[in-house]
Amino acid sequence: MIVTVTPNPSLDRTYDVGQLVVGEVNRAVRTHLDPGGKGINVSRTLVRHARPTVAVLPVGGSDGAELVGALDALGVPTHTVAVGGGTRSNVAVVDGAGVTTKINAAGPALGPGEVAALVAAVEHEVDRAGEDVWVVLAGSVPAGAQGLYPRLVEVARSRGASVAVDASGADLAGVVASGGTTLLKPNLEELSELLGESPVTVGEIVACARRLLARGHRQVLVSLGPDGALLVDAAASWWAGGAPLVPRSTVGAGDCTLAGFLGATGDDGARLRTAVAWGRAATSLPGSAVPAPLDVREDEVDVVRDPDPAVRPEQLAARAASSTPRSTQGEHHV
Amino acid sequence: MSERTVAVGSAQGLHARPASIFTEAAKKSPVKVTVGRPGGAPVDAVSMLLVMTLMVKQGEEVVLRAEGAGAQEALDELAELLARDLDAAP
Repeated sequence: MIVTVTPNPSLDRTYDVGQLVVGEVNRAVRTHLDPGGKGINVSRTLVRHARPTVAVLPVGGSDGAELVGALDALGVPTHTVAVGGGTRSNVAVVDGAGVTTKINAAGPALGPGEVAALVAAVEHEVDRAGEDVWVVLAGSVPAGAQGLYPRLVEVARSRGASVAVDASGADLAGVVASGGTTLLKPNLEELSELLGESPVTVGEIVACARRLLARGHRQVLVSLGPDGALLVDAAASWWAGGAPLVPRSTVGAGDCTLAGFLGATGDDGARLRTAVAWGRAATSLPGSAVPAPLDVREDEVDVVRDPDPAVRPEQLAARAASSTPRSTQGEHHV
Repeated sequence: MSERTVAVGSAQGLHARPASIFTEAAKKSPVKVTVGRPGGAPVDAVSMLLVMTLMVKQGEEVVLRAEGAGAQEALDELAELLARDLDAAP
C-alpha cells in the first residue's frame, strides 16, 4: 500500500486561448479542471496501474469539494482532512502555440489543530494498511505546517513504513537534515540548490547524492529530465534512460517517475527501469495526464549499473539511443 | 579577509526556511562567503544543507567571512539578513 500525502493540493484550472494578450480580455476556447499536487499525481498514476494507494490531503471550500469529486471520478481513494482555508486553485493559460503561462497560488495556511489532524490521518492510513507500506511526502508544505515532513518521517518510521520524499527548497532541506527516509527524489536542480553545487558528470552527481545519504537516508533517485535518472545508494549506482523523446508535456513527469519506482517489482535496477519508463510515458501525454500500462515502453529504457563517473548523463542517453529499439513518436498513443 | 559576527534572529534558528533565504542571498554575492560557529569549522554559505547542519539556534552567534572586492558590502548585507527573524511572515 502506498499512502501519499499532499499537504498543499490544488484544483488546477487550465484555459486554452488562441492568443494570450496581457492587459486585454482574453476568451478561452476550452477550459479544464484537474486535480493537482505531487502526491495526488503519484496516487493517480498508481491507480491507472492497479496498485493499491490512498491520497491523504487537506481540503477546504468549494474548490476543495470539487477536487475531491474529481479524484472520486478518477477512482483515486482519498482520506481528506477538512480545513478552514479554501483549497487553492492554480491557473494555467495555454495559447495556440502550446506556450503555457502558470499562476500558482500559495495555498491556505494550516492551523496547529489542522496539522495534527493531517498527521493523525497518516497514522490511521499506515496502521490500516498493514505490511509493506510506503508513505510518500510530496510537494510544498503550506504556511503554518513547517516541520510537517520530518514529523511524518518519524510517524512512518516508528510504524515500520518506508518513506519517500519529493520536495524542494526549505522543505527538502528540513527532511534531508533530519534523516530517516528510505528514498529522496530530488531532480538535478533541487539537488544542486540544496548543496550549492553544480554537478555535471555522473561521478559528481553520485557524490552529491551520497552527501544526502550521509545524513541518514537509504537511497536517492535523481531525475535528470530528458537524460533519464540516477539511483544512488551507499554501495552502488544505476543510471536508466533512453533515446530522446519529443515531449508533449513534462507536467507531472517526475511524479510518474516516483510512482513507477514505488509501483515496480524486482531489484533496484529493474525498479529504476520502470520508474524511467513511466516518466517517459508521462512526457508523451498532454497536460497532466498520467500514463496507462499501454503507454509505457520499458524496452526503450537502458539500465547501466555503476556507470562511468567521468561521463555526463546526456552521453549515456546518446549511447542508449543507438542501442535500444525505438518506436515512432506517438505510435503507441493513438 | 573580512569578518562579521552576528546573532541569528530567526525564531527557529538557522533552520529550513531561514537557511533557504540566507543561501539564496549568499548565491547573489559577488564573493565566496563562509559561515560557521565562532571557533568552529566554516562551511560554504551557498549550501543550504551545510548551513542547516551548523544547527544554530535563535540568539546564537555565527561568523561570516569573505575576501576580495565587494566583500565588506556582501557581509554587511548577509549579516543584516541573519539578524532578522526570517521565520516571520514574508
